[in-house]
Amino acid sequence: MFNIDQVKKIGVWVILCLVTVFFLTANIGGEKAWKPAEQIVLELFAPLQKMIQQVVQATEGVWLSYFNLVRVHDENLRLNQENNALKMENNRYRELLGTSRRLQELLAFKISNDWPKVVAQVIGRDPDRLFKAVLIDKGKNDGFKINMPVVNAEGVVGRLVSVSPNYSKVLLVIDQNSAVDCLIERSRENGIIKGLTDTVCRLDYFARTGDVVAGDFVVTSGLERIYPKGLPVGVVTEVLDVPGALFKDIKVQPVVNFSKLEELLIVLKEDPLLSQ
Amino acid sequence: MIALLFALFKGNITRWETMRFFDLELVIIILTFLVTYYSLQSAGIFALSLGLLIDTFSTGPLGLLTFIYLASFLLIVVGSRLFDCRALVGLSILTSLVVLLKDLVQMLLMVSFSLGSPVSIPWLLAIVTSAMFSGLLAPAVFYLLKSGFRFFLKDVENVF
Repeated sequence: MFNIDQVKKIGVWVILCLVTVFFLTANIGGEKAWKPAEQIVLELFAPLQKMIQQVVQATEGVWLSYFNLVRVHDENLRLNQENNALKMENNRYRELLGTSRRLQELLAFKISNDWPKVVAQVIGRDPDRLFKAVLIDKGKNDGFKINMPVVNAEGVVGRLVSVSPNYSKVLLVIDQNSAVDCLIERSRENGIIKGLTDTVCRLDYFARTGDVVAGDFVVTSGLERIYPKGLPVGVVTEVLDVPGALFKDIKVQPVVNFSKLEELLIVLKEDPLLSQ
Repeated sequence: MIALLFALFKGNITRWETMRFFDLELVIIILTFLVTYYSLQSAGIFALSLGLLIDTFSTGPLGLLTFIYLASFLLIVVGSRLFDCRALVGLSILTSLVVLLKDLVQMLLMVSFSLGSPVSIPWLLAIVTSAMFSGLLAPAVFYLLKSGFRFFLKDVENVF
């Protein structure tokens, strides 16, 4: 099938393949942050990705604006903006209502809204469909640091996992490697939100005796000290009591539409563990 | 360049869940093209460099996609001995098989390194349909690549 020369040539690539496994093993479990060499590569290629994103957005814009009912689209945009504003107001109101019942929560909510925020544009998405991350057009030069929370008008989007001078990578809440400490807004019981699919998350480590029903709102608890407390994460869609299991099997639908991320708010809140 | 642009653009397409079923693995098709019409070295270097670049943009650990593209390259090299890539059927079957195996290898690596398990019925459906879609479109992409190469690099015309 192969002659000696070909076997030698292929052998070199097999060795290289094994070297990458070593490389991969060395990187498992480590920091996701970009190393200097990666930052250089990213700074070189990210403008290209930004250009692609702009072309995609422009094409989408042309399609939506001119071919797909001009007035309906404009009206839809206006209503979406209005809806986002109302959602924000509603989230704030709901949280204020809940916190006012327990008095001390009011202060926590105020703190959560006091952090300065910077708007950034999504310029690219993870090229691999199994990982969920986006690339944004701002970085260290704008004061961004690893583990800063990222939100939008709807709720929690994710956190910064890599930062270069002009670009950053955001690990989305729906990624399987993301974990956000949350609580059920109504019963104030804790669990950890982990990504499952694009539209469904799992609420892990929620005690079987805990009080949760479908329709409950899930908000950040602030316990992991990355996300401010009280930010909306999702809505409980399914609660299962698995016989013999220690925890409930809970599915949560994120409040953010991750397929339509464009502008994001980066909360300039440093991770206290990293800044130490 | 085409593969690079496509790799950077791909995330924009696959953000819609439905599009994942029609996820064209252009990188695998270009790799097959290079293995078939060029040298092993050019195909290997292409797999290695593109893998490293995509790794930089991806959230996965550095080296995961490099390994996957290198493994795909080796699969294509071995597969090209079993299937005739210059024939439509051979090319389609080989592309489909490599895309399918690539996804399975990635799944195995993710499970082995505790990077999360993608295994689910939609994922299984997506990898099967993506493999079939890539296999079906591979001859058309080959034709376009050949035409492009003939147009831009007239001196390599004798390769085809």
